[in-house]
Order: sequence, then C-alpha cells, then structure tokens
Amino acid sequence: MPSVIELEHLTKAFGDVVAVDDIELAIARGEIVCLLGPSGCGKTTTLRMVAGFDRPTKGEIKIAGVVVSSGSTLIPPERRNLGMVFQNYAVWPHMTVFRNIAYPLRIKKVPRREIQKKVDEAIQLTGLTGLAKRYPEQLSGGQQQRVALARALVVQPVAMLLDEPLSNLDAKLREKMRFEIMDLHRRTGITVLYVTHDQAEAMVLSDRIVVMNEGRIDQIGSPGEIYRQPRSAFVADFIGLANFARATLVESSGSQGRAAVAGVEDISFPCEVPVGAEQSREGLLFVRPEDIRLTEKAGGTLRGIVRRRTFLGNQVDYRIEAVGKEWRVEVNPDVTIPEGSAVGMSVQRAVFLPEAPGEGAS
Amino acid sequence: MEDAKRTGVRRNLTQPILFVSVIVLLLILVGLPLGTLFYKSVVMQGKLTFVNYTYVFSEQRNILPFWNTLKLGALTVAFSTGIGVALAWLVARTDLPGRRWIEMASLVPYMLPPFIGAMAWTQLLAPRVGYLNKLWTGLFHTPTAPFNLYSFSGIVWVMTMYTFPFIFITAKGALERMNPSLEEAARIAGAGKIRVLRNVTLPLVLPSIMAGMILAFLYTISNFGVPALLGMRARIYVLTTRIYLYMHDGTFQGIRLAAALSVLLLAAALFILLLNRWVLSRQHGAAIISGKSVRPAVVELGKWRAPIACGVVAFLGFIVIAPLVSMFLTSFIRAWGLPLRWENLTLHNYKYILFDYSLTKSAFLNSSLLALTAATVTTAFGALLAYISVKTKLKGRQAIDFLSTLPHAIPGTVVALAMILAWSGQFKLNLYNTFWIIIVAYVVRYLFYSYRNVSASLVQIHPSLEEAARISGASWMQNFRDVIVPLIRPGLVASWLLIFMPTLRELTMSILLYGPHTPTLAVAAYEMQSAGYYHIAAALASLIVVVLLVLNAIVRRVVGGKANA
Amino acid sequence: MRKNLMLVLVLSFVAAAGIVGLAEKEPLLIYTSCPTEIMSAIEQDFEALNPTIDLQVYRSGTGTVQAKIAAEKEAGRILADLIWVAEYSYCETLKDQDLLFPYLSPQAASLPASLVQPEGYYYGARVFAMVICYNSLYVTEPPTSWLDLLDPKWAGQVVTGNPQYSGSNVVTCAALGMTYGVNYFEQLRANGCTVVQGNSQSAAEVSSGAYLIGFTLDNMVRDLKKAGSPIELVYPTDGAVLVPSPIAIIKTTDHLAAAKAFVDYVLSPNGQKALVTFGQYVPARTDVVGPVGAPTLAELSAQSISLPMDFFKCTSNFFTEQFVEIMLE
Repeated sequence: MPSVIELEHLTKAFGDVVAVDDIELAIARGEIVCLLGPSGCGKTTTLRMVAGFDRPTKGEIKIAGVVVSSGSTLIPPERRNLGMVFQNYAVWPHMTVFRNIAYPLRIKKVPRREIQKKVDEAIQLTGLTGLAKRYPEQLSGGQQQRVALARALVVQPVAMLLDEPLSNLDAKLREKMRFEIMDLHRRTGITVLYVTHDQAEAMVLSDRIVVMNEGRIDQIGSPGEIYRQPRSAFVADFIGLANFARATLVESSGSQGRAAVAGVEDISFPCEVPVGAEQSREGLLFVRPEDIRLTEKAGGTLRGIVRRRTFLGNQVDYRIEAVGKEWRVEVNPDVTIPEGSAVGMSVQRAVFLPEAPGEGAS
Repeated sequence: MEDAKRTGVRRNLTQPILFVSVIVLLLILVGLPLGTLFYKSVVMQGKLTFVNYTYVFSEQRNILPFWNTLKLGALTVAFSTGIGVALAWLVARTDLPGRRWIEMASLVPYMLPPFIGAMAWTQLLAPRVGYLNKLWTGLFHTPTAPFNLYSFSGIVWVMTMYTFPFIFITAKGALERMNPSLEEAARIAGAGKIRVLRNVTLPLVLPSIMAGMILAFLYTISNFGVPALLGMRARIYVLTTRIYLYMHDGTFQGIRLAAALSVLLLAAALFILLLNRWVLSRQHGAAIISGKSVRPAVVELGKWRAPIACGVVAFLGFIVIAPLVSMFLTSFIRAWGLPLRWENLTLHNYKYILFDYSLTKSAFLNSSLLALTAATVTTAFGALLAYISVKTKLKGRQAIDFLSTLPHAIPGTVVALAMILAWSGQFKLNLYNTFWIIIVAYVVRYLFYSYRNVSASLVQIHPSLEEAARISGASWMQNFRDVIVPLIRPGLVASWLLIFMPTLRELTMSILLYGPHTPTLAVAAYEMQSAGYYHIAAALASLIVVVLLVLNAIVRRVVGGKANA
Repeated sequence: MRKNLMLVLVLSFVAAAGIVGLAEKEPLLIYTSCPTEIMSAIEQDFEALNPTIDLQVYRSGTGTVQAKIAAEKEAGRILADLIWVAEYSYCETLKDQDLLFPYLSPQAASLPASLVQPEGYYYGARVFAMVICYNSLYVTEPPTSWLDLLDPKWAGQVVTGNPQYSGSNVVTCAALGMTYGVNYFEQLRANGCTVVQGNSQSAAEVSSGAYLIGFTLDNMVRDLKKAGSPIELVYPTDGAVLVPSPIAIIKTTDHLAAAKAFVDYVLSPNGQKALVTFGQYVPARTDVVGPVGAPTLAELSAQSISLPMDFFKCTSNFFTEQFVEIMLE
C-alpha cells in the first residue's frame, strides 16, 4: 500500500533545543495514526511541519509521493492539499457555518452550485444540519469542532491533520466525538494524522500509535502492542497504569523468559522479552495492575500487606506493600480483602524491560 | 447584644449615606450641567425656542465649521488608520528589526498634547520660515516655499500625527491576541498570505481597529489647540474654534450660540458612538479574539526587511523626532525667524519663563495643583462609583455607568461650556473664574478613567473576600479600607496617574475656564504661541514635553504597561 | 501607595493654603491688553513705588477681556478692579452701563485734552498708533500707504491682527472703513491678507519673515528693532491710526484707593517713563522724553486719521462686523 505521508530523518531545532529528533514514519492510505506523547515531546511540531507551518531543520517530508519539505523546498501550507483541525477549532468567527465550510472550495474556485452541494454533504456528514446560517458564537464547542471537521473534509484532502482536536471539550462530549471521528474516518476513508496527549483517545482511534518522547519516537505499534508490549519503560508508564520492579532475567528463549524480582530471588515469573533485550540480565519487570492475582496462599507469590483498598465501581484498587515498594493491583469487586491483611500476589503477565524508567515506578 | 445592635445600626447608615451622597454628587456634577447646557440652548426667557439653532444653522459661518469638523475627523481617522494599522502589523506580526524601538517611537506622540505638536510642527512647516521650508528654498533656490502648515491639510497632518497611536495601540493589541490558528486554518484551506490577511486577519481585527478609530474621531473633533493655532488664521474654523470665538465675542448671546453649537458637536459625537454600537452589533467574532496571548504567526519579510526597516525609521524620525528637535532648537533662539547660528542662541527664553514671567510661574503652580487635586478627587470618586456599580445590586446602576462614561465620550469643549452655564451663579453657586470650576470640569471629564480602571480591578475581586471580612466582624467601611482598597491598589494608582498626566497639560477645557488667577500651563503656552512669542512658547512647550516624558516613564514603571488606554 | 496618595492630597491642600496665605498685600486686579512683557516690567516698577499693593494682571486681547467682563457681569460681579484695554468706545459703553467709577486724577492736568474724559471716567493712558511694518531683510521698497497694501506685489504677504481680539484693530477698521469704504477690506482679502490674533503676533510674523508686511503698533516695532529683529515701520502717508488706550476704574471695586494709586501712577511722569522704557510707547505727557526716533504725540496726531471720540460709539461695531464678515469667513 503506498504511503500518503512519509517522514524521513525529520529534525526540527529551535535554537539549541531539538524539538523533533530524526524521526521516520510512513502513513499508509486510509490509515489513522496518532502521535502520542506528553507536552513538549515534539508531536505538535511534527504535525506543523507536515502542515507546512514550520520548516524542518533536516530531513524530508513527502505527501502523496511528492517532496513538500526538504532542505531546499518548502511548499507552503495552502498548496499541500491537506485538511486540518485545530485544538481551539479555529472556526472563523466572522463567517457563518456555511461560509466557514465553503471557504476552501471558494479558494479553489469551485463553481457555486457545486460548493452548495459539497457543503451540504459535509454538513450532513458532520451532523450540523440546520445550523448552516449560524455564526460560530451561537454554537457549542462540540458543534464548532464539527464545523472545523467539515471544513477540513470538504475538499477531500490527501490527508487530514488533527491537532488535539478534542482537548477543549468536556469529558462526556470528548468521548462522543471520539466515536464520531472514527465513524467519519470509516465513511470517508481519509488518511488521518492525529496528535494527542490523551492515551485513551489514541487507543480508541488509532490504527497505529506513535509514542513520542523528547523529540524521538519510542515505539510505533497498534494500540494492543503498545499496551501489552511496550518497548520502553516510558511507553509502559505513559500508557495505562504500570508497576515496575527491579528484576533479573533468569532465563530466556526467544521472546519468552523468566525474571526474578530483586529481593525475592527465589521466585521467578514468566515474562515477555522484547527484541533486543535478550542480552541484558538486569532490568525492570513491568506488570499491569490487572495482570496480578491476589491469593491468600503464600506459595509462588510475592508476599505483601494490603495498605489501602479503594472501591471504584467496576473494580477494586488495592495498594499493596511488597518487596519494599507499593504495588497497584486491580481486581474484580467480588474479591474483598480487608486493609492490613497479608496477601500473596501472583504475576500473570509481565514484560522485562532492559532499562531504568525515569521516575515512573509506582 | 447591645453592642451588636449598635454596630449594626452604624453599618446600616454609613454605607447608604456614602452611596447616596456619591450618586447625588454624580448627578449634580454631570447630569445637572449637561442638562443646563441643553436647556439653555433651547429655552430663552422662559420659552422654548429653537431660535439659537435656527440662527446657528442659517449662518454659513456655522454650517461650514460643522462640515469642517466632520471632514477633519474623517480625514484624520483615515490617515491615522493607514499609519496605525501598518505600523501595528509590522510590530506585531513581522520579523522587522528594532520592533521595540518602533513601538516606543510610535507611542511618543500619544504622550504629548496635540497643541504642543502643532507648535512643534510650526517650527518645521510654517510658511517661509519653517526649518523645512528654509531647507527647501535654500536647496532649490525657489522663491516660494512648498509647505504651508496653516491650512486644512496642515491641521489634518498634525492631528494625524497625534491620533495614529490610538489606532496603533488597539490594532497591535488585537493582532497580538489573535489566535494564529485562525490564520493557519485559512492557509490549510488553500489561501495565500495576502488572501489570509484580507479574508481572515483584517476582518477579525476590524472591531478593535474600529474602536481605535472611534476614539481617534472623538479625540479629533474635540480638539481645540490644533485647529486654533493652525486654522484660525487661514479662516478655517471647526466647531471647537467657533465655540471659542462665540465665547470670546463678549456677549451673552455669544454664550447661547456657543451652547447651541456645543449641542451640535455633542450630536456629532453621539452619532458616531451610536454608529459604532450599530456596527459592532452586526459584527461577529469580536469576542473570540480576546483571551490569553499566544505566539502570533510571524511573517518573514525576507528581502523587504531592510528597505521596510529603513522606511519606517525615516518616517518615524520625521514625524516624531524632527518636530520635537526643531521645537527644542527654537526654544534656544533669541527671536523667532533668526537663522540657527551660534550667536543667535540663548538661554534667555528659559530664564524668562522660569523666573521673570509671573504668568508661567503661577501656571506651573496652578497646573500642578489642579492635576494633583483632580487626580486624587477623581480617583476616590470614581472608585466609589465603580464599587457601587460593580459590587452592589442597586437599581439604576446603568445610570451610574452612563453618567460616568458620558463626559468622556463628549468633547471637552462641551463639558467646559456646561460647567460655565451651570456654575456661574445659575444654581446659587458661582465658581466661574475660580480654581474650582476647572477642578470640577477635570473631575467630570476624567471620571471615566478612574471609574473604568477601578471597575476592572473590582470585577476580579471575588465576593467571598468581602464576605469573609464581614463575617470576621468588619463594618462596611473597615472592609472597604482593609480589604477592597489594598486589593484594587494597582487600579487606583493607574487611574491616579492616568488622570494626573492629561490634566497637567489640559488645554481644550482650560482655555474656556481659566480666570485671572488661574492660568494653566497649557493656556500659558497657547497664549504665548498665539501672541507670536514663538521662541518663548517653544521653551515652555519644551519644558512641558520633558516633564510629560519623564512622568510617562514613571507611569510605565509603576503601572507596567497596563496604562495603555 | 495609599499613604502616598494621602500625602499628595495633604501636600496639595497645604500648597493651596499657602497661595491663599500669600495675599497679605492689598490685591489689585487689572484686566489689560498691554503686552505681557511690558506689563511685567510696569508691575515691578509700580509695586516698588507702592509696596503695599500686589498688582495682579490678567492679560488678553480687548475682545477676550470684553467677553470676560460680559460673562462676569452676567454672573453678578466684575472681578476686575481696573481695566486698561485698547479703545475708547468700549469705555463709553461701560460708562453708559454705569460700570465705571469717575476719578479726577491730579495728573490729568498735565495731559492733552484728547486723552482725558472730562468727568474722569477714563484716561487715554497709553498711546500707540497702527502703522505698517515690514521685514527689512526681504523688503527694500516698502509700501508707504494703506492703499499700497492692495498692490498684487504683496499678494499673500500681508498680515494683520483681528479686531475681534484687539481693540486697536477695531479702531483701525473704523478708520480705514471710513476713509476707503468697506471695499478696502474686500480688496485686502482678495490680495490674500492673513488675519492673526493680535498686533504682537503680527509683528512677530513679519520680523521672522513668515510674512513681509504687517499691520502693527508703532511701539512694538521699535521694541522688536531694539531687540535686534529685522523689522522697520512706516507711518503711512494716508495717516496712521492713533489709538489712546483708556484706563478706567470699575465701580464695584473693593480697592478704590489702590486703583486710584495705579491710575495716578500710569499718568504720572514715572508711569509714562516706564511705558517709554519698557514698551517704546509715545508718551502721553509732554514732559517725558519719547523713545529714540519716535514722533511726539502732537506730531503723531498730526499725521493720523482723525476720528472723534464719540464716533466709535455708534459705528465701531459696524466696521468690525464688516471686517469679520469679509476677512474671516
């Protein structure tokens, strides 16, 4: 499948600060790819370079096979044939909904009748029926964002760029819009590059997630891969809840192995060993809270004491002190173990990571 | 129990008494004089008559100034907008070098009164003897000099130089606050840089520019000094100078006609304000611009960077620095028109105005006293009004808002005239020719500054802070003194300084109100200029300029940029 | 900062009190059109001779002073103790309105009859004449008569004061209007004559070279010339306009004795000498030596357009209005 957007050795420095550091990415037609990372990780800068607002310091960007940014060329945003949705919607307040959506078509000198038709389609597609004559100030945040979406889609661009489009909306609406964007994507089949710092959003929407950290790509993978098989402590920690413990790899064969937690060397747990980690002996054992079973038996488990028990509705969150640190464990609410009692933890699934996390262990 | 009852009673009394007296004072100071002005213009000897108006309108000499006023306002605003918006865009949105300096230079005229500008420009462009005219005739050996400042275009030129900062400030603010993604969205939609400027940037900053234009228009049509110093000798009259002449023709009928003309001037001002309201009500998008400042998209000027920078520096040098420098030069010359040579330079002009001439001495004293008193009284008065308007649920708060804002929106000439009509014995109180009538006029005219500044501070004080004070046992007065005043201190200081500076050099009202014992600085300078003592007037004006620039530096330090309004 | 504000407030009231406190001498308020610099010198001279009196001067053009008096009269009381503005007809008007105090000064006997109002209501205490002035750097062949100013040669180069502001211009208007008719103003306007505020400004414009020819007062030209300005005067062949500026006591004064003292002073040899020295005026008394190169009062009267005192009363406004109508609109 041909790539719609290709980034090669893309680097952007602002003075001495390297915001984007030599990243490589290819996005296939029809794919929806999220750039995910904490603020300042370079995801927005990457998006703005794709859009053409920022000039790369090094590297190349190709859109539909054409070089649009490189050391020598910089095709301006208006000639890249992209759609874009901004964090604050950027719906022009002095134009009606109709005129906002029609604007890209007008610029392209599309005949009047066709404009009417296409805008109507876009309005219908984004659920704005009946609001065409309104001004943005008369719309809710969600409606404004739909206008922005319709405006980005109306010219059927090569790809659509979305820059944290839902972060200004309240939680309920955000969740609803996630599904609407997915739906829209399904119906139009458009290629999407999506920037967010919200991992849940990325999980729901993406075909692939690109986790970025300090200007570099830490991992690219499907939401499942990213969640289940993080390749670094940063990825593991950034997405979902995680327990980390110093560990030693006691045996490994291919991608499977066993690791022992420091301090209780006599017990070892089965774990996945990512490619490239086979050589290390020392590292971190990463365990999702839901991958720990609580037992009252002592055998083959880590011994700990329940420090706090929090009822969350669909599950119960336990804070358990074991091997000198606190572990988070999430279990089915049927299980009730009182605070202060001793408990055994059996790790069902873990990943051995050959590096130290920042401060992530909790 | 007994105790609580007593404090309860006291609390219930001080606050209402204070509020009522403040409101009554507002009605007396603002409502009464403006009402009298209108009344006097339509009622003669107890009968309703429009004879003043029919007379005013039947005379070509009054119709023409009316049109001149509108024409002057329109042309000045048009040119100011061109200059102000262009400079604002260059400073706010491009990579032009030295933007900070350009901004500072653009704001210098804003600190100075236009009549001093007129005096300074006279040095450059007076027919035959202005330095530029001399330079021209010297260079090209032409018998006649090309520039004549004493003309309609001269008035427009000088007014433009002193009003474009209004538009510069508002346009720059809007351009800086504007969300860059609005423009980026248009780029993505396929629009080029110019098209984005036309379709998105300009329409969005238009409401702010409009606000600046309204200010500039009102400022221009209210101005007396410039059309008086430059226009009267060329037989060009505007409403303010015509009113001045009526006031000086020595008859009471003249005062009535002046009142009628003032109502006309007032009508022109109100018309523009209503027009503004109407336009704004049809405008969408003004609201979205405001908010936190974001990094605006910077336009790279590329190869145009150097030429544009040179052009801007030359332009600002010419319009800001050159007239001031020539005025400073003239202030050292023995007699006006003498060539600039060593032997013609002297410090005598300064010695004269500082030590020998009693008028300037009392003018310095008067203006300082007037400005100090007006700033203090107005700040206190405006603060109480702002409190009532913002913090209470009193019925008729809108009226307070209206009466506090009105005198600022209408021309100073009209305010002054209203003061004369109301306070020269009409209501058993004769302040005419005294210090007090000037104070009252200043308070009324500049009330808006303190009212608005303090209101802005008060809005930010959450009611719970006051409630906490009251719960802790503070009476309303104690709460006001211990909680409110310290919290709104920046607003109070800003308003004090914002009133002090313009009142220190006020001309438009003072020229109609000053008496034998109460000449003000601006009046002294104006009188000296119109008596033909250009070199001495230049010395006085130079001193005023230095004082104002120093004060401005202090203001900027104290208020930290918030004072731009 | 609140403390500072309070401090400022307190200081300003202290200062205000200080000003009030200064007035321990007897204040004497005069409204005059006599130029400020000259008046400052006269004030010092007078106060040196009368140390108990504090002369307070409000100076402006006759028109402005008249407006002030009108407004004050309307408001109930004229503040001035004395007026010294430039023309008889106005004093006649005030006299008819019973606003003046008649005072027969002992100095009156030494003055020519033309300067004395018989009942002592006012005295022509300061004498000057409207003349033609020119810039001596640029003009080699100056005009010699009022009619010469209509020569196209001087198109756009003539400047005059405004009779709405200056009393001497009121008299000049009447004199020229009487002699040449209103037509004269029309031709003057057609020749591009500029109207500025008063005579001192007119003289300043000419000495600077902004205009080449001007209507101004003879004493002012002598004064400027003495200071080094390139200005000369011509007594027009068709007659200068002699303007004795009357001084009068306002009837409602609370400082009658001081007012009388000042009238005596300006009419006395001392006062007239001061006017000669500080203002280059032609003296009203024959026993005071006039400025260098100036004619005596008798000589000046002889070459002036003669207008009887009561003539202004009925017509002065007519010519002023014509002038304003023609020259200013």
